[in-house]
Amino acid sequence: MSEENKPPPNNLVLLQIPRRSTFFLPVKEKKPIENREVPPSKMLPAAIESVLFVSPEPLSVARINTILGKPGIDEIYAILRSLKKSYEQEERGFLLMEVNRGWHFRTDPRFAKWLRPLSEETAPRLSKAALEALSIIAYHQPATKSDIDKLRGVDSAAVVKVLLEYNLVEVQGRKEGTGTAMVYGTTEQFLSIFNLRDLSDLPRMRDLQEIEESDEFPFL
Amino acid sequence: MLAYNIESQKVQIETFDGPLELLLYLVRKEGIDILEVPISNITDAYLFHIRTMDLLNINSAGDFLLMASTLCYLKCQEILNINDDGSKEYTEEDDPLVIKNRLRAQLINYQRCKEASIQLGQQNRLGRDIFTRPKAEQKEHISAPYISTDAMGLLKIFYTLLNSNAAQKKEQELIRSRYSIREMSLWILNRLHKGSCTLNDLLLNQDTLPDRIVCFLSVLELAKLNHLGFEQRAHLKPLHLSPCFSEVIPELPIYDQQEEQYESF
Repeated sequence: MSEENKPPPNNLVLLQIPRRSTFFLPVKEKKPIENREVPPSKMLPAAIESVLFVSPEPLSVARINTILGKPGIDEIYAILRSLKKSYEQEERGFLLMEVNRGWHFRTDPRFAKWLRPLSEETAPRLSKAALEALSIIAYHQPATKSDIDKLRGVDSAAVVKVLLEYNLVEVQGRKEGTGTAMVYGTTEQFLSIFNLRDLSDLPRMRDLQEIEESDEFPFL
Repeated sequence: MLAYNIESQKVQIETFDGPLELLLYLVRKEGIDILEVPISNITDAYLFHIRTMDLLNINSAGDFLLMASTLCYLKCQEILNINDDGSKEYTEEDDPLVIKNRLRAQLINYQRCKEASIQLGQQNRLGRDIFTRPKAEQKEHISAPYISTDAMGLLKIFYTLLNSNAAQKKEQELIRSRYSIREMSLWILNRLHKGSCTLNDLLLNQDTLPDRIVCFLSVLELAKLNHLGFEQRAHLKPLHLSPCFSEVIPELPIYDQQEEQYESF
């Protein structure tokens, strides 16, 4: 034990600052997550519901499994699906949604106009150009800025910057080969904000062939 | 047929982000066939657009110029090729067919990307269409102070303060304490020699505010010299003072300005 850490003699400085005062920066306690008791199987659906209710962000099945002491991934998955279904059928104000490879309670979009004034968090406002660039990155990722420029036929530096600021896209590396162009991809924040389970959940893009056969460009 | 006029473009100018968008707009909304449009008109529409954009964004004006010239070139070739017997040879750079196909592919790809962006824009968005529990603010380092009393307890403390002489005086008068820190310290040590007491006891023993201040300073001095020990059993509970010396009251090396001053007079 070093000199500084030695406890003072009993009769010396005994000025005690109470433990729960504001003077101390509390040490962030790492909650031990192993060896937890599993809730009785009868209560498992309700337990899962309570865990989801408390979480401010989407929880993956694996995470729920760990929190509840590992009752089994398959079981949890089945319960989540039935919970989701029951919320949809019961016409509740909020629904259980699959977002960002996890599960999350989110409100029914039908009530958006009444909730908007209540909410402090607002969705990023995206211009038409920003949405175009974002969709190019989302569907073509990893995409370079020149890919975006080429598809839009116009310089996109400013809109890409906006997307980076909103943390909707991120630099995922540099392209191999000529030059070292940065390649962009979408973030987890993107999935969360656009309420997508994963990238395969993106709205389907029309096939090239479909457009070509559709007579929309008769002149060319 | 002329499917647009320059005046009507005024409204649209700000909404076109690039030449492809303008072209797509002309093609789809107005239903025109680029190859049927009089060349002067399409050039006019483009130049009008570029003129406005010159002021706003010089970077994209170049893109519009390129598109305008490409269209002009295509139209020229179309006119020239009416009586062409196919004997003219083109390089890849200036073959109108290649250019046309490239433009077509560009337009179709842009159309796809535009559709996708519209769909994405309509997608339920967190904070706009759907909402969730807000994330708790990260205020973990500030925990609420623990107060071991209730509302009545607070009132009691407040009355104790009101009733003490010090709190009642509103007008401030500067009075020199009757005692020096040295004298006060000795008094405290003597007091503690008889047994431990609380800081409150010591302070309430003094009649005047200056005496109380001197008393408090003396306690601090003694604590600094390790002649005193403090103990507080709970938050906001009285502070217990205990002597840290055995039998003999220790010598005080406290420098006393007041005494020196008296001596010099």
